[in-house]
Amino acid sequence: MSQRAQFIHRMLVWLNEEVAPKGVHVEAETPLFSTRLLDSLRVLELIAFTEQAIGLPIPDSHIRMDNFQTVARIAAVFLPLDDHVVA
Amino acid sequence: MLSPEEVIRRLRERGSLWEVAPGVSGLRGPVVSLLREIEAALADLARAETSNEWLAPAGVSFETLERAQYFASFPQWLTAASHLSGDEAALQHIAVSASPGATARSSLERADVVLPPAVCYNTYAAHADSVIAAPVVMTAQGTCWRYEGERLAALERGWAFTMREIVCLGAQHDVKEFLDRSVERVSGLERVLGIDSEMIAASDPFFAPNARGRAALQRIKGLKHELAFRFLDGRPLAIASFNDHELFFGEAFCISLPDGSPAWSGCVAFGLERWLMAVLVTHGVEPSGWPVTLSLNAELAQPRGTDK
Repeated sequence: MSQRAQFIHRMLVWLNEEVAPKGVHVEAETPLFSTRLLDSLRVLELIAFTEQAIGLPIPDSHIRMDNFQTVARIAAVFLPLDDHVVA
Repeated sequence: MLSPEEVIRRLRERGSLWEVAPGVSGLRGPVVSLLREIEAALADLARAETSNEWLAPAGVSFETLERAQYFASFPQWLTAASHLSGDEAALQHIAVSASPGATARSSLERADVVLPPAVCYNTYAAHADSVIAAPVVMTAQGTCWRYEGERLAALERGWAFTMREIVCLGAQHDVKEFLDRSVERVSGLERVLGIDSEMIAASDPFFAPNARGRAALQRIKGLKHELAFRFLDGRPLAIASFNDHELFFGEAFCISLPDGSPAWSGCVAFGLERWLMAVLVTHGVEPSGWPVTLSLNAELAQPRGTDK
């Protein structure tokens, strides 16, 4: 399993087991911010989760919707297929 | 183009600007006329959006700010109004004191009202616990107070400063359209004033400990944008902000739509002294260098590309 696939799997497990309310299932393409799935504490955890995976802090300028729309998008932006980080 | 420090130095030198406390400044001379022109231009811009102009109260209640969760957001700025007691003996004591100013200062009563940190809080409170049948847009101008300690700087970051706001309450699409129209209108104002600026994504300086999370949510969801004027050294000065509050104030103040759901809200805010600084940095402090027509003209009253 590639690093990106592992990241997607682990983040989905975390979102579905610890964040999503009962009856809500998050998938890789589920929009994360069109509902109230993530509050201001959870969004920090999401960023921290990503930072831990890539081993680098994410600058504020990269914290924007087009980078964080879905789990798949987060993985595509911060974990390119060749495993080099674009941050 | 001048540096902001040079603008302030020249204004002070000619007696056009002075401060009675950090961030509490006065103006006189031609620069007052310039500020009045900017004020009129912003008022016209607001009137192009709405004829519903309010005279904002000079204070806001602690209860209103509590309801707005202000104390978990920006308590660091809070400035309140106090007064002396009406007790005759206490007043007599102050009057005959060797240092009546110092004695009065130490005799102030508990503050009962806050000096507004923004104009819009009173507009949400005025609509509290109500149903709005149609989108409501209102505008108001007022003096706002934000204590920022070491960061205070004349015409850039006043403890007291003048804010023009336009507020929209309605459904999500009403607020989105309002914010889009406002961005369009403001770009016309920049042209008239001859200043260059750019729209940037922004976030509020929330109070810790949850500051980074709230700011991150704002950035990811694109809820706040600022019109940034840049000084020669590249430092940005936010001269206007465009804020999408989503359901925050609708829920906090129980403002509902006819279907019972909470109202969406958004506001556009302009810091008048910052616009003045941007014009002075760009065109200098001599009136002969200022743009000929600063009054808002007809083209600004019409958003480009629309017939509204």
